[in-house]
Amino acid sequence: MKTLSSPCAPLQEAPSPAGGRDPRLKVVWTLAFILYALALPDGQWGIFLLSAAGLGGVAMLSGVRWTAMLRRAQGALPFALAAVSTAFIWPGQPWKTFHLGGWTLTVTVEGGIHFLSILCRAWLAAQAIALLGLTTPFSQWLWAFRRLGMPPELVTMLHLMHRYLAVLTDETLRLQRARTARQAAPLPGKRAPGFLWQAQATGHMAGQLFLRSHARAERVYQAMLVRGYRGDWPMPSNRRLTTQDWLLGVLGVAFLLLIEGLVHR
Amino acid sequence: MVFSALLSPHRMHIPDGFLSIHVALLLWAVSAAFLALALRQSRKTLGERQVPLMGIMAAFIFAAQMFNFPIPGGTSGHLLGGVLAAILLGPWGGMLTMTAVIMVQGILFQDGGLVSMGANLFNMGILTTLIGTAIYRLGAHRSQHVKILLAGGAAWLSVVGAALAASLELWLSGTVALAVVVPAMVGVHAVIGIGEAIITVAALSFVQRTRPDLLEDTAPQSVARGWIAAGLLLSLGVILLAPLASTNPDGLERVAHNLGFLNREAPPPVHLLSDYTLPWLSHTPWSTILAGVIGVAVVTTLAFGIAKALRRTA
Repeated sequence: MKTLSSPCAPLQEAPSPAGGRDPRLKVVWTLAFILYALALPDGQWGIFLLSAAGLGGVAMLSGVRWTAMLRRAQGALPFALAAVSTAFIWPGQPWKTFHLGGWTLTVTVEGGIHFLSILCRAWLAAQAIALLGLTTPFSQWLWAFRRLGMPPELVTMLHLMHRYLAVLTDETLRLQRARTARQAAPLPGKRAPGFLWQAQATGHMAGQLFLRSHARAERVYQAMLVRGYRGDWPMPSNRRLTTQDWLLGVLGVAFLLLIEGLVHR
Repeated sequence: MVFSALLSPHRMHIPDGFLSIHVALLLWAVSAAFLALALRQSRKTLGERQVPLMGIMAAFIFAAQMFNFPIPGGTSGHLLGGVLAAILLGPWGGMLTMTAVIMVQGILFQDGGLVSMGANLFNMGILTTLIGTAIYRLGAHRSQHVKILLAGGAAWLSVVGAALAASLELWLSGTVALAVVVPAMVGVHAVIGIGEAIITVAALSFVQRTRPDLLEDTAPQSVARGWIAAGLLLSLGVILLAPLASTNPDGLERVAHNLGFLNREAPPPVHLLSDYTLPWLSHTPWSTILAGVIGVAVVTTLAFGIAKALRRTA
């Protein structure tokens, strides 16, 4: 079950290599870093290691705990398991053969390198997003998105979704508790409610939650109108990109391009 | 099987690193085009009142995804929500709402990557709402009973379709073997889709009983036909791209070839579009494209037949 622990987790906002920078700079730089990582060819172990060390260094200097970075990146694990199959189908020199029941599976050298390279690239990308997430509050992400050209309707939707997430999640948990209370202790000699009852009850709960959310949306809109809502979510900020921000951003991207150029030469 | 780890619908959020740059950027471009269209249509047809509604509805879809119940076979029924959003908020509103949900999941919970977010938006936000709208509107101006049944079918198909799209994207990126990922992902999500279908049907029945005005379809017949045509065009688009993807044998064929039992398979009793080709055109891309078009035509005819039969019995 999804919990709201992640958005409530403490975020590093104090001035640091990643913490105090302009959110626009951080979003653009993270995207550039992920594209750089994805473009690295297979088997560049030294470059993978150097890139990971660079990210780890920035995280450490920014006061981000490595355990928090690991926890946020765990969503990639099932896909890493799925990618194992590529080691068996990638054409190349046979390396090792496994006998599983009636099956004979051969891992090729190139397949193994390709699989490990996928893991390295995915790891670098996941750590970059984790670092951005742990050093940037959600409101700053939205501020950056708006300034980078995201349509105002979408930004307003994201703001409102974030604001009412905890309210509706709480309501969902109350509905689930009520369902559990009604099915937890069946009468003696009677069976617990079956699959169809549970499915129907779940659907009705979803329907009820929809109606409550719909009614709440109307009240929220009226309250927003009273406060002067004119179609755009106000995001006052006097933040400006400093010369230091520009310099850091340009130098960082130039460094990534340089490595990429050297690797592909 | 390692793919049992991909059991939940949340495992459809592809992280960065598993899609190639070309596939990820192409899907960002496609998703951005759909979202631009959705925003344009929303500005035309919906007022500013709808923006807060869609924001809170996005929180509703996110919260409703927490509802789960056990399904026989060891997995649990979940809601993905694309079809429910498309029916309750309209296709464009549903698309924007699902976009907000997927973006928040990606940013706050790191469910999926940033560069691969275009693929996640396409699979779970765009494809599911398109499928939902196209199938639900097959029952336009029919009884609510037929409409809700069609919504259930659309909900199941949306989950399977999203899983199939994710599988194809991973395969096109050279990350997984097609012969392994498609049966694993589609097989598992065919079961999970049952949960989606039941929850969608029960939720819509509840809304129908308590607030039928929220389910009134105001779209004219021509618009409904447009959505059905859009669904068909999307299917045809996939068919046209499929034969251009790869000419290499897939993983299972390669293993069979290595082990020397590729030619030992028993021939099927009847050859219908064998190897997705037409016999008189041999193994050419055009042959695969035409075989796909014939397949879509057959499936569409069947779907219309079933819908007509349902209308008669309703």
